[in-house]
Amino acid sequence: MDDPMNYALISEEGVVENTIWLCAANKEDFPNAVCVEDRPVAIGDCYHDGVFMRAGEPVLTDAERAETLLAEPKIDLESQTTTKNPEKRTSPGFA
Amino acid sequence: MRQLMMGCVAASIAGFGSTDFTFTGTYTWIQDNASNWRLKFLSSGVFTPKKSLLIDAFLVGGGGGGGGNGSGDLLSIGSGGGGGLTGTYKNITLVANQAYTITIGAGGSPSANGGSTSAFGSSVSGGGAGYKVASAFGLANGGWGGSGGGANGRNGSGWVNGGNGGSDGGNGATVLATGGNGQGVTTREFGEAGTALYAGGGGGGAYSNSLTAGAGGAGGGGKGYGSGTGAPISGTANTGGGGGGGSSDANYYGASGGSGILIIRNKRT
Repeated sequence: MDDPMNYALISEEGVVENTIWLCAANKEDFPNAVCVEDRPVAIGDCYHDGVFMRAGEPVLTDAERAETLLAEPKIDLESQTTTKNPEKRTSPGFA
Repeated sequence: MRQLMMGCVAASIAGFGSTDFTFTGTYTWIQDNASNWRLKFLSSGVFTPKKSLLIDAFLVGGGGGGGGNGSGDLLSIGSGGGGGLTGTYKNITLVANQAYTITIGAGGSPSANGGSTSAFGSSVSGGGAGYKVASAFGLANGGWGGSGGGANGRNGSGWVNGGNGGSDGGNGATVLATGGNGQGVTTREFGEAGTALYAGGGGGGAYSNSLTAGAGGAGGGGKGYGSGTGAPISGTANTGGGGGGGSSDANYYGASGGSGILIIRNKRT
């Protein structure tokens, strides 16, 4: 049998009501289960048209988040670094 | 009639073996001795005994994911996720050829609660997620659960080592933020002394790799980000251990919790 993976159990209202550990081989035991692989889906997220949503935004994988950051204009990243992380590159740690 | 039915159940118990059931998921059969056995359900599925029997059941929910903002902004470090809650239920009658659905809770994704484990009409919740801070230099309490997650490594004056995850139902270690609350009763298998521990809390993250991460609690908790291997560690699969807390220092989100488990055994006195 294949290794278990994370699946989301979806309610009739399209809400993730539980996350379970399940093998693809017996996925049919849980007709409302959707494989989430490495997507950080959580109980309470919404699921519509094949997309998991949280607070109105798609739930992204780490790779998708990285792609999103890379797609942003470089100047914006530099701006964030200087305005939001002023001490990020200094000696760690003191307020 | 009642006595006759009980007699039938008792007769079945004595003869129950590894070929007397089907299960659609993954499992491990353990023959402890000539008359005692345990069956560990490692993933979700449908269990159908071929004989009626009396059992005890031990349930563990999925561990909570460790907290952390990863590559987000803020000088942030996350706390450890809590271990899944545990529960022991004794003297359960299972009927021959009846199908029982078993769900094994998944470990929580980073900053998410673990999934619930349920079987035979009982259910236990997954552990609470570790927290990520909402402001620079913020404090993050450990996640609640079977055993609590450790607090993030931040005190009143600077960065310090992460708090250790709790074990055996205890709270996670407090640094300045508070360690997560444990369930307050043992998380050992069937609640009995000398058995295996489950549901350890995840360790809190430290800000940099030069500081010591909070250790994962015994029973599958993962350590937080910090010295040693660096990256936060996920809770161990099928223990319900909480995930370790991450740090924005190296773009680490928290680590995932470990999946839960169900263990049944022949009823014991």
